[in-house]
Amino acid sequence: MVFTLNGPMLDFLVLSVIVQGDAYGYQISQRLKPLSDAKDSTLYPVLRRLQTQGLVEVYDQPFQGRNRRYYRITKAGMQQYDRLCVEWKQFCAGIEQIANGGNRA
Amino acid sequence: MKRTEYMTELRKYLKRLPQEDFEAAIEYFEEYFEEAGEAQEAQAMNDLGTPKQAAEQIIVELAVKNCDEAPQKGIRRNFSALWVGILAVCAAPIALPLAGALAATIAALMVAVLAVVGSVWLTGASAVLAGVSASACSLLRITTSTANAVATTGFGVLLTALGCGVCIAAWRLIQASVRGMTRMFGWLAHRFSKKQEPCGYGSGQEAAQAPKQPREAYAGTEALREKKAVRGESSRKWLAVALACVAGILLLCVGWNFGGRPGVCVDTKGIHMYGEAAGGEDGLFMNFDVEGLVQEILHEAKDAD
Repeated sequence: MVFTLNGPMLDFLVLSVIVQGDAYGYQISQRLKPLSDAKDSTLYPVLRRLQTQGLVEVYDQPFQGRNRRYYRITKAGMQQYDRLCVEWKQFCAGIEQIANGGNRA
Repeated sequence: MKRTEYMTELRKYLKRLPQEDFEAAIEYFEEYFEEAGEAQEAQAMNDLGTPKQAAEQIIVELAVKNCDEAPQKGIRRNFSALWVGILAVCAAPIALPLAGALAATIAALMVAVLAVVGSVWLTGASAVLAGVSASACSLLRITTSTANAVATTGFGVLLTALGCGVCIAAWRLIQASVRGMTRMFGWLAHRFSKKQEPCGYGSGQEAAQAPKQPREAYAGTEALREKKAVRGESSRKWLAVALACVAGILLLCVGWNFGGRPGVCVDTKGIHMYGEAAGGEDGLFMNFDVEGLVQEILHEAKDAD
């Protein structure tokens, strides 16, 4: 992959996945897979950090005789998500403006 | 490699972490394998990366978290945080010999600081011991030589209180320096692990800064309450020390007024008791050789370096 994800972008993407609905670790890994070459083990520290920051919370649900740990967005997480959304739009607009500046229709 | 081998190796790398963090991480990886299914085991391991990589990221993340978190309650947890910091520095690819030497120098310096503060603590402790035994000895002779006994008891109480004060202060210093080291190692690990994987997810430093606001809003009230409680506890301790000092001085003055003299003296060689406090005989009875103790500790610290 030419373009890579950095820390804040990854936070943003993980929050985005969870905003759409509670999700478990493996599920989030699979959602992010098409976007990154990074190993799936990198996701765990990110989830852990979002958890200590109070942006997401976890709850367990039994599934086929074992446990599934779901991640759910918190109020603070929602605010952070909104903030990152605004930032991301600005960032994208800035990139687009420069990248396509020469051949605007 | 089999899944069980993968997990065994991961456990080995993470075994030094606090139990809670250890278990959470192991559970996450076990669950990941379960979700992937037995048929996808090889693919899952490939996706996850090696156990070593996984463990390093977990440790560095924890060290960075310890770095900007409020200090833990209890010295054990603080030492455990310090240990995670050291692990993280080892995990972060600090190939540069300079950084290694720097870390070693700082660590040696910290050991020296701990030794000095530790000996100050011992000084306080020996003052407490001398004070308590002086008071006890003289109280036994309160009927035969009341004035002397009162003066010695007063001096003993004063000595005990001052010793307690010194101990508390030294303990605070030890905790503060452990905390400082934790922060330093966390910061070091963070700085050097940033360049670890150019195509990886990064270390999330910028993201860690951004959500400061919601986090404070989230945990702010509780942290504040805890801080207040700690401060209240500490001021009560100091109040007790001050009250004991005043009581000791009062007793000493009363005893002195009636012609009594304390049978304890303090000089640079240590704390000595004689006369009444030492059991009615003249000459040295107990000798707390503080200077010698300090020298011994410093010597050992030097050897350790």
